[in-house]
Amino acid sequence: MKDIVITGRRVRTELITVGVCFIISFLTNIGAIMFYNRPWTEMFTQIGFVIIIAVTLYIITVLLRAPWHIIRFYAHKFKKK
Amino acid sequence: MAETENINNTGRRSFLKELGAMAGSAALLSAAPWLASCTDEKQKQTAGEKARVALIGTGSRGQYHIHNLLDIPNAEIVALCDIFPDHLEAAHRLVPGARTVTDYRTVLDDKDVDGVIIATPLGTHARITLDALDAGKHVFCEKAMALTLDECRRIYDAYNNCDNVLYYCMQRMYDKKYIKGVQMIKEGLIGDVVGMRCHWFRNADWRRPTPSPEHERLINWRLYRESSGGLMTELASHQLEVCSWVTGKMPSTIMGMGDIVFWKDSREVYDAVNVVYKYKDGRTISYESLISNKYNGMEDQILGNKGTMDLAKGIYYLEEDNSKSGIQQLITSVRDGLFNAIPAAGPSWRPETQGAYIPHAVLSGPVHVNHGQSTTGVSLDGSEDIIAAFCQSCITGERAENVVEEAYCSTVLCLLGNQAMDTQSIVTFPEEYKIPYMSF
Repeated sequence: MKDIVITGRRVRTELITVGVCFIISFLTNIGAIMFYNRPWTEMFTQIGFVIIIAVTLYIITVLLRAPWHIIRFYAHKFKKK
Repeated sequence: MAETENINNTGRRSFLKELGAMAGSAALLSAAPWLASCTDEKQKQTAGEKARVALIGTGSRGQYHIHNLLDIPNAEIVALCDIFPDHLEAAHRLVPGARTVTDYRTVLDDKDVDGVIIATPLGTHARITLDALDAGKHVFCEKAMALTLDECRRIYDAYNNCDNVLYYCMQRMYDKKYIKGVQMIKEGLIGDVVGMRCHWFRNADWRRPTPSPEHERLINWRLYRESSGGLMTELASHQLEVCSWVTGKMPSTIMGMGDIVFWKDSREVYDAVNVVYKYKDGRTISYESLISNKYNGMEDQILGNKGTMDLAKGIYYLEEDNSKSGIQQLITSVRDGLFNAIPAAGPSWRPETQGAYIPHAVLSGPVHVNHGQSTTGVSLDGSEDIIAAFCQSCITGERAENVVEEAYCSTVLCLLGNQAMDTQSIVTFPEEYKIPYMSF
């Protein structure tokens, strides 16, 4: 069985992706607070929703990137042959 | 003795006590001024005293009242009156100590009777009520007020020319969830009231078993026009009273359709009615009732531009509900937008889909909801309280404010609804039946 190598670069990329998803989610919460005229305490009280939305966005990015990586993987394999 | 009665009857007594406590609130009192006659303080003043009452009409509804009266410490049933022996006998088994008579005038001549409770067919309400008021008795009469507009007017005028107490069994006026709900409406919770939708659906023929054909029109009086206003007076009266209570106004025009759709027996009254009452400001009451399908049950919906109050359920909904956080409302709005969108290659129209509303209870704690299917009466719908309030009034002589006026308004609207259906025309509220209490 081959070892799976997760490079530092890959980890950094994923962390940045998670961070961006969280920021988008957090800003969405801010926007909702302003639009629906809600108390600012919801920045913290609704953190659960923020996390769920961030995770959802991250999963979407994985699903969007996955085909690209799969294609690249098989293209690289084909090229080697 | 008062304490013992409290221990034995905590359920009933505490219920009127709850209303008495509610009546201590100025805001509630302004929404339901009739509660002023049964505040906590006034109830304490009459503790230990008894109202001596007689039942005139001891059929199903009369016996229902007997059951309630037996639980009211302030009530003593001294006489029972009915022309139908079976009913009189059944009532006497409940109150063996009461005198029994077949002529209501005997009761009215009895000096030992403070008040009478009339639970006879609608066609007799006016005659008995007027005679009772004339005899100096306090009167509690089942709804509706009377069978004709003229009779309603005569009763109203007689009431204003005497000092007697007069109540009509419009029990929603004493139902806590209605009182609280109306107060919330008047305080602007649902915004401006823009319309009302009331309906009452049942699936039953309304018939009672009769011992012989000669008793058909006596026992099944609800089915015949000589004694009944049909679905309008028997059911709609309660709901139209609520509309009058909420708006403080009266509709100026009425139109409607009614017919015998399913129960094609010997009945004369409609088994399906559909009436619209229109106010001068354009608002309408949409009323529907039929007794061959119970899917939609019974509802009293008051529609406001900011929300909806379903008084029968004691629940309200807001058009823009701020009980949800901003992010929750955003998610709901995105979800609704995604799933309600018309697809590019689908049908050319899609029906408006009802958005999700969050139900909010009018009262905290368990709420009793009447499913509307009983043809006799249910518990905890205000009936116990209004008759307890009547007993209180019998002792003090204090009238309950607006009870008669509300009953008058409601009954007149019912009768005009029948007129609109019978004549298939738009009826304008007649001048001769307007009273000072009414506002158009």
